[in-house]
Amino acid sequence: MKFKVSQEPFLQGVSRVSGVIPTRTPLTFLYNIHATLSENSLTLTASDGDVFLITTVQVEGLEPGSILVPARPLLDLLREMPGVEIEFTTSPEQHLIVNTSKGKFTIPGEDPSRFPTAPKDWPPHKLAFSSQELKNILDQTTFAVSHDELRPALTGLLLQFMENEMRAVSTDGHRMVKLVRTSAEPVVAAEGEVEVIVPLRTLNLLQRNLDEVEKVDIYLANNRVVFDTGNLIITSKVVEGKFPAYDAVIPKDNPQHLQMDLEPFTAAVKRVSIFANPINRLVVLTLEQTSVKFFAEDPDSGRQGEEEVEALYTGQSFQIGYNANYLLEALRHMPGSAIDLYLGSPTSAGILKPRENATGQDLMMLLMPIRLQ
Amino acid sequence: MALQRLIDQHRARRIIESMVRDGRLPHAMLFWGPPGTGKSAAAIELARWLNCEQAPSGPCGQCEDCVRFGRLEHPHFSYQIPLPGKALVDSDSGDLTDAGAAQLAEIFSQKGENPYRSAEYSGGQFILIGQIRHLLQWANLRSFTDKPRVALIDHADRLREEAGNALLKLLEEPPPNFFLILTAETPEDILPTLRSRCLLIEFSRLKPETIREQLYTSGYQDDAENSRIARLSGGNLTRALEFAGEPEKTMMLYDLAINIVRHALGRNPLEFDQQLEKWDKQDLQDQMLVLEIIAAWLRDAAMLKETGLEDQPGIINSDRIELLKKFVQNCPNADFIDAVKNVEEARRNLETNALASLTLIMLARRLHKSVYQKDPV
Repeated sequence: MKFKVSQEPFLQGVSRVSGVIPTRTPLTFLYNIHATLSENSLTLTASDGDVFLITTVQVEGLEPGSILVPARPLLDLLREMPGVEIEFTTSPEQHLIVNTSKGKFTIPGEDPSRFPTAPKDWPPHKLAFSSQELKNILDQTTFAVSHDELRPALTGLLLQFMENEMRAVSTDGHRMVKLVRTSAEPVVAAEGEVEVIVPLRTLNLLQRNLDEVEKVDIYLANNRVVFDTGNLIITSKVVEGKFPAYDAVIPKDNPQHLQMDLEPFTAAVKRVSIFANPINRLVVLTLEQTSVKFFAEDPDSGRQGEEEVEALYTGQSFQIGYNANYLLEALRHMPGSAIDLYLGSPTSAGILKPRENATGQDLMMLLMPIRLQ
Repeated sequence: MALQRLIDQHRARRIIESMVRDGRLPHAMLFWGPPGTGKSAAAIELARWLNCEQAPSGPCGQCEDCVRFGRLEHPHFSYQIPLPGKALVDSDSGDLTDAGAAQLAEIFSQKGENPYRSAEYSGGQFILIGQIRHLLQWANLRSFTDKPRVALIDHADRLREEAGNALLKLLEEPPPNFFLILTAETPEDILPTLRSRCLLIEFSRLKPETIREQLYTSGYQDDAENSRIARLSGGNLTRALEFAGEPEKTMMLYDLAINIVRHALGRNPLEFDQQLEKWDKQDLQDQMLVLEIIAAWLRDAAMLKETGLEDQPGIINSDRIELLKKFVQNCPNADFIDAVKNVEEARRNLETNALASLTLIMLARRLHKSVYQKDPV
C-alpha cells in the first residue's frame, strides 16, 4: 500500500475513528486502526469489538492494499507534523513507513486479517435527521438510560421505527422519557416495524461527532444500528432483550395540572435540594391554586429549606415527593421556557411535558414519586 | 471427531458431541474433574466447533473463525480466569490496568495455541465482580451474526460470592444462542445456586501413557524423562507440560518436597529449618506444587503399606520405589491417609492466604503426629 496525503485531513480522519479504541484490553489487535486503500480513497476503521467507526479520507493513491497500524503512535506522530505533506508506504513485513521531505518514521503494523469485521450491507430501514435535531433528541432522552447491567434491556435507548413515526424511549425504573417524532413520509411499512435498544456508549460516540456534520441517517436492522453522518459511519451492536412495555406504565388520567415557568421552578428546586436528605434526596412539593411550595430537610443535620414559586394549578391541593436529582435532571433536559406537570395521586407517576415541542415532536418525561410518610 | 484438540475423555466427548448434533446443548454446563484433564480445552474446542464455517462437520482449522480461536480472540468467546486485584483498575468496574491487559493477552495467546497450557495469572485468587460485570455487558449485546457465543469461566470455584450472584441472572435468563461453561475440580466447589442450573459433565484423570504420548508430540523426546514426568504429573497434562518445559526446576521442587517430608519427620530441627528457608523462597504456585508432590508421596506410601505390591500402576513415584519402601518400613505405625488429609488442609490454607512458613511448620508437626502417633518434641 502506498499513498500521499496532507497531515490535516489524515489527522482528522484518524482522530475521528480513534475515540472508540479501548484503552486497555487483552485483545491487543483492537489498539490498531485498519486502513484500506482503494484508488484515491483510504478507509479507516477502528473498533472496540462491539462498535465500529469507519471514515474515508481522500488521498493520492499510488498502490492499493491494507494494514493494521497502532493508533497511538500514529496519532502522536501526526499531531507533531502540522501542515506537512506525507507519504505512507507499507513494507512486506507489515510496517507502516511514514516519509516526509525531511524525515522517515517506521511503525510496526500487524496482519490486517486479525481485525474483526462488521456487516458491510446497509440495514433496510432508514430515517434522516438534521444533526441539530438528533443532538436535541439524544440530549432529551439518554440521561434516563439505566447503568444497571443486571437489567440489560434498560442500558440503552429504545429506537422504534413505526409506520409514520419514530420513538425514542429510555428508562431506569425510576423515570422514563418518551419522545415521538412523527414523519410526513412513511418510516417503515406497517408490517416491517423494527425496534432496537442502542447502547449508551454508541450514542456517546455519536454525540461527539455531531458538531461537525449537518445531517445524520439512521439505519436499523434487528441485530445492529448504523449512523451515517456523511464523514463517519458508526455500526454498533444492539442490546439483547425486550424493552419493557412502556406504554402500560404511563398513567392514562392525571387530572391535576400544574403550569409553570421552567427557569424559576428549576432554580427553586436547586436551592431547596441543597437541604435534602443525602440518601433519598427527597423534595416535597405542596400544590395550591396559585403556587407550588418546595420543602426539604435533612433530619440528621437539622437543615431545612423551603421556597414558594408562583404557578397555575388546577386540581385538589396535595403533597407529592420526588428525588431532587431525578427532578432536576428532567428539568435540565426539558426544552422551551414553560412546562406542564400532570399528576394523579401522591403515589402515582407524574408526567412532565414541555409547553411547546419542536416541530413534529412530542416529548414526555415520567417521574415516579417517593412515598411520603 | 469434532472436539479435535480434546485428548481422551471419551465419555465427556460423546455427551457433548451428541448434544450438539441433536441440537439440545444446554445453555449452562459445569465441566468438572481434576486439573489438567482438558476441561477448558473442551470448552474452547466446543466454542470453536460451534463457530466454524464448516459446522457441524468442522472445526476445519482453516476458516477465519477457527484461526481466531487459535489465538483466543474470537468475538464470540469470552474467557474469565481468576485475577489479582492489581490486574484491575478497581475490582468493581473490572477495567484492566496496562500490566493486567498485557499479561492477559500473553496468557490468552498461549492458551489459544495449546488449550492444555495453564492459564494462571500470577497471584490471581478470585474471579471478581468487575469481571462478571464486563461479561454481562458482552453477553447482553446482540451479535452481528447468528453464530453461538460461549463464555468460559475457568476455576469457577473461585468466583467471589457477589460475582457468583451476578452470574445467576445470566443463568436464569440467558440471551439466545448463548452458552456458559464453568470449570471446577468438584461440583461441590461451586455455589449451589449456580451448580443446580448447570449440566454436570465429568472429566477423568489422563492415563500416564496418554501424557507420555502428548509430551512426545509436543517435542519432548526423552522417553525415560517423559515417563517420569507422566507419573509425577498425576494425570494432569497441563502440569506435565510445565514440568517438561522446566525439567531442572521440577527436579529441584521434587527434591524439596521429599526433603521436607524427611526432615519434618527427622530429629534435627536445623535441617528442617534449611528446607523451610528454601520453601519460603518459592512463589505460591510452586509451594502448592511442592505440597502436591508431598501428597502424592504419602498416597504412594499408603498404597504400598496397604497392599505390599510395588508394581501397582497407581504408584506415582515408582522410579524411587526403593526409597519409598524404606520410608514405609521406617514408619510402621504411620497413618498415611491422615497425613494426606493434613497436606490437603495445608493446601487449602495456602490458597486462602495463610502465611507460607507457618503453614509448613504446622504441617510438619501434623505429619509427625500422623506418622509416629505422637507430637514432636
